[in-house]
Amino acid sequence: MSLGKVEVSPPSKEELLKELIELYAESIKRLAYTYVKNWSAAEDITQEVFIKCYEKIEGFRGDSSYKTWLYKITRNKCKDYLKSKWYRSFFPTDFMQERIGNNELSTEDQVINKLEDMELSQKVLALPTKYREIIILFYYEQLKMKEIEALTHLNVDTIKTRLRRGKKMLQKKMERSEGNE
Amino acid sequence: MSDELKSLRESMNRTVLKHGKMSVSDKEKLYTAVIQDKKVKNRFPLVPVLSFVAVACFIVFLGGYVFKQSGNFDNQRNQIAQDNDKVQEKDETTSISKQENQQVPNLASFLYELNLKLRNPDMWYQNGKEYAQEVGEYAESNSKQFAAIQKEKTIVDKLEEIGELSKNLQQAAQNEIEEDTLNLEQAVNQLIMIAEDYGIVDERNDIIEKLEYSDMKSWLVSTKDSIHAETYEPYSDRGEYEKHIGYATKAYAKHYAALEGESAIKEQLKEIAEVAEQIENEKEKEKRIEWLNQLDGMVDILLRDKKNGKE
Repeated sequence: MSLGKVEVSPPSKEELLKELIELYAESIKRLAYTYVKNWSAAEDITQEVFIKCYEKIEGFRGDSSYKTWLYKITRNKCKDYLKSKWYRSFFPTDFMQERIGNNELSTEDQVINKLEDMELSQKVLALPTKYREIIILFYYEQLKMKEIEALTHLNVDTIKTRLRRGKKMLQKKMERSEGNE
Repeated sequence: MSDELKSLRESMNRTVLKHGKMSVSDKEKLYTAVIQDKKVKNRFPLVPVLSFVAVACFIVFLGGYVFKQSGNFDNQRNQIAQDNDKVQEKDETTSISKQENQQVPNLASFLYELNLKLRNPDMWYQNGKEYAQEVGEYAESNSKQFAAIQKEKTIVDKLEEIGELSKNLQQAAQNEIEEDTLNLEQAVNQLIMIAEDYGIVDERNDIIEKLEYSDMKSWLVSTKDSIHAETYEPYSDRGEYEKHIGYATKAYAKHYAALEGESAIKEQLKEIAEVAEQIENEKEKEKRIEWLNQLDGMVDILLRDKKNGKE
């Protein structure tokens, strides 16, 4: 029986990918949805993020965490998607999505629809992209200012301004809908 | 608000993001797809493909029609008609204020023209921040005006959103303009789709295709050709053909007026649209011919002014 040192080999590329998918796929899909507001596109983007991750994983220097790195790829993919001519010219975007979404709602969902959290969530998704992303990263993903800065390449002052303006817009939207009820 | 946002994660996971849940098998499928670098899902959904096919068919159809209409009367292109007194009188008072310039007759026209402004790459390239300010003001004032008179809540809500996004565009820093424009354009396109459900549609959407004329001059020359054409195919009689000239010219004149930056040319285009509308609605043949002659003269003057403006 040997009592020598046990050598632990680093995980293979595939093992690492599997672990990252296990840990972050769900968050990435949800994060992508908050940008593109379409589940089919969010699934495609999630896949593209992990394809890129698989391609580049060997060159990952560890300057940030895997999570921040993957979120950064997700953000870029979503921005590309939103800017693409294809999306802008032909995709029915949120409006059609809202309709499809509403048609798919079960009775239970329709009850939930009336709850405050549904209203808040929908209002957050209705914010303009630049405010929405900061609200999502700060409150939903619960990232720190420094992490948001690394991910978005915006300086902290800009992030704070957008956070403040986003909250203000959200407040107005909530007040307006309360006024309508 | 901050307290409510603290529970945002739970709120969203229970509601709008609950479809984001992935089972073990979903993750395995994703892993396999990534390893094989193969798309799990079809990248191109059916709706956009069908939209593209419909637009392509429309372009082919319209292209064929325009090709038939034009072509045989090149010798008449450079003919400059006698000055039209009525037009000249108006031509002298072409300076219009910015406020007048911003007025649009109805919601459909506003959305159509705002969309054109947002998709005018030349202006964005040349004027950047100044143009963002101008478009933002235009969008804000008109969205307020139409929100005040609209009854449908969904339309009013969207107009209010456009108003807010317009404010952002006006305040945008240089590096924020592109994103703010994109946000505004998305909201405008959504409202165009919503408005269509209520029958609020601008007629220009029905007949204008971007690729049909390369510029305003090509359209003006083609209009002259149509006025002087001896045939009237595919129309059954000359009267219907002339009414169609009125209908199409009105739409194109409004279209180019919305794109035009120079106020004098813009005013001329608006006047052409008014005369074209008379042609479209005129039942008496003689009067219609009079209007057509007037239109012919106005087109000549505009062609001349455009040419002089360039020189």
